[in-house]
Amino acid sequence: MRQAWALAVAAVLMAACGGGTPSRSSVLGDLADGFIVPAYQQLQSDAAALEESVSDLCGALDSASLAGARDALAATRRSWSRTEAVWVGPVMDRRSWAAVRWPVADQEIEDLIADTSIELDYERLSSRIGADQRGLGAVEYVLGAGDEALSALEDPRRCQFLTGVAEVIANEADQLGEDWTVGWEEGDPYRDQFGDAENDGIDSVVNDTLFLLEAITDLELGNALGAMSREADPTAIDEGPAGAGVDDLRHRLDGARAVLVGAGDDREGLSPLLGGELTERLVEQFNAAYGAVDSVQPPLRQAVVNSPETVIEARDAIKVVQITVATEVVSRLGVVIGFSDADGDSSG
Amino acid sequence: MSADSVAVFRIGFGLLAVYSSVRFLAKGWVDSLYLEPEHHLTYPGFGWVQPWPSPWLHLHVAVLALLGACIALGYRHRLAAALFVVGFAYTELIDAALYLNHYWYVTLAGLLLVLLPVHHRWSLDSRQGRVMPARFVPAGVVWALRAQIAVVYLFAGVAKLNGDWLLRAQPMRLWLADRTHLPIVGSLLDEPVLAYAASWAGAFFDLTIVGWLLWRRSRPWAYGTVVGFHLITGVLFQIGVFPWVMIVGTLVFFAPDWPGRLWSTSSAPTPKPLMAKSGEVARVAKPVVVVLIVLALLELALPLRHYAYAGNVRWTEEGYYWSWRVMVTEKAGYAEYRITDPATGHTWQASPRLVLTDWQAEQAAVRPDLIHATAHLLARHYRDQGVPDVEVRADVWVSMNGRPPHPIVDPTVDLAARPRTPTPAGWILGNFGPP
Repeated sequence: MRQAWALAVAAVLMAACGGGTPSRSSVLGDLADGFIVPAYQQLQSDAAALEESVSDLCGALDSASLAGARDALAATRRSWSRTEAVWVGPVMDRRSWAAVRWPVADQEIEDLIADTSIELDYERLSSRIGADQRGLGAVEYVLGAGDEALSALEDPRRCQFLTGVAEVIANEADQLGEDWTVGWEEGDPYRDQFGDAENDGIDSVVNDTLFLLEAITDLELGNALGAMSREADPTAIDEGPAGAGVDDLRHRLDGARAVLVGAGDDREGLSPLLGGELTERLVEQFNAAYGAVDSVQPPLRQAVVNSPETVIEARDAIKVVQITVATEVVSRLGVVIGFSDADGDSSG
Repeated sequence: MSADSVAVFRIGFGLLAVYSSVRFLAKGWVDSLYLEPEHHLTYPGFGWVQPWPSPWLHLHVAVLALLGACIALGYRHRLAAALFVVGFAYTELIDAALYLNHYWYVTLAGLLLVLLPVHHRWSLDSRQGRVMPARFVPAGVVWALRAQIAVVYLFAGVAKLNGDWLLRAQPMRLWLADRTHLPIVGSLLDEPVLAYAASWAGAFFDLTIVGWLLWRRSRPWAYGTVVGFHLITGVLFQIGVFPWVMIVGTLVFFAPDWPGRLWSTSSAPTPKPLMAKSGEVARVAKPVVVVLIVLALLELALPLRHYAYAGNVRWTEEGYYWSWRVMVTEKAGYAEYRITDPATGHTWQASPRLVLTDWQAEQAAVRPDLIHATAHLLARHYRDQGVPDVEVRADVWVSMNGRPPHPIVDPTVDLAARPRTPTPAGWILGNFGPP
């Protein structure tokens, strides 16, 4: 009898000391170190490169500099897209999207550049103009798609606007990187706060991933295809002159995948908490979604009109991931959708 | 029997009613749960129950707190308890997405407090002469309160006798794994063996605790277990005042004179056992006995009515309300609706969030009756927008107790055309074993 008790106590102690599923805090810490922090640091670095390249362009208006600026823009846009699945903490608090990427109003930008009574300095561009007049969309609008952008940039105010907007983006990305790694709200780096947030951290990151997937399938592709209303509206896709909508989809999916099952084959992200079977099913669903997205011929807005069946297929494939997250992942992780704090004693 | 324990039951109930109402106001739930939603997911036949506008609903809940105080003090008790039951039931009927088993218990226990003579002892009514002071009540009064609690535990225990609970330790595994952040015990909570142990212990507790509480020799230990069990579940799960409701309520299983004896051991020599004399026993009128019998039959029938429907009640939820299926299922769902304008033949997708808040949509993604109600709300939404007679079909996937998501609604059925009645739906898909 005494031996049986000893064995039972030993088993409990062994269970308490290790083995089994890793703690939520360690999984969140690994997610931060393995994906989130590098993703924001990549954005930081790409945005700095964008600022430098548009500065170079305005210093030497030639095709090579223009191509360099466009490449830097595409890289920054990619890295921003990858962060969308982890818009938690600082990015939400700062409303960074208003500085980095928001659908732009072309005419508003032209009016701003044309109005010589307005000083296009950093203070004005960072806080005293609308979100639809700045950000990556504004840079893309000014850089355009053809060589005519070079002649337009001979207007010094246009270049002043371009470099100013790029500086706002770079500073915002820089701030986000520092919030995650140096300190946030006069406290510890958000990386540490995120890791310590336990269930709130899980809730926030799963809710954000779910929101991203819903934004893709319903707000953007759904509306563009006319599935969400009585009329199709391709402008629901914020694509820009370069027609990077398909590329955006891919990189936003990259972010969602990294959160849920890790970016590579190591099954990182939240997968240690999801279990092997669900993780592998999610990997298959992501692979199917990537395959369907790859079948869409860019630009995305045109594909919606010219070959809607490919876009429908991509939307359906992404929706499969969305449903799994909204049901099984939410259930497995005990995520509270929408953060309701009401009591409950009936069912999930 | 001594009227002491039923008086304590009344006082405890009243104080918890005060606490619960104040808590509801303090958490801002009057606004977020009742006033902010543009629409409510009403119970079939109760669509006419709508929230008072602000600030009247706040006042309503404040009055419930006041009525709770009146019940505790025994001040115009019957009137206070009756108004409390009506007022409380009104708030519960506003939105079916807010259904909680313990609110149903509070309604029923409140009804018993209206019917039974629990205010003849330790009450202002008896002190101020509105009712005859009585140190005794008929034994049936104590047993009626005990039976009310027994119904909760027994049906909650029977509901746990299913394959998921006993053989898969679900949803306990999901719930415990979600609480590994708790200090000391957290690292143990994702151990499957613990989930099995907790599931079986929970079923054993619910099925047998009434017996242990009734047996005099085991009663102190059983009550200690009740306290421990409910405190632990209160820490692990967000179930509000439910643990306190049961901890206070189960005191009625002790010998009816326990409060007097407890008081006397602390302040005076032990009195001799009391014997009821004529005029010292509060009476129960015959019509009340009839009402109690009807209520008892209803309480036995409601949890069993799911046998009148096909399928697993935990999945279909037909016959789920008012059946004490407390914490036996974990569901997460995803719902979207397809709207068809029959005039043009055009079909488009609509989010339930067009008509629901997040917390309503979360419930309406897993419960077929609420999915049905949402379809009706969407039809009304489009009718108000000038698109009359739309057809509403739903694509809803639900994961139950950790299973892969499965469609729960026949996507070909126009739910807007189906009236909301308690009859078998016929459009609920899937099944996961016997009830």
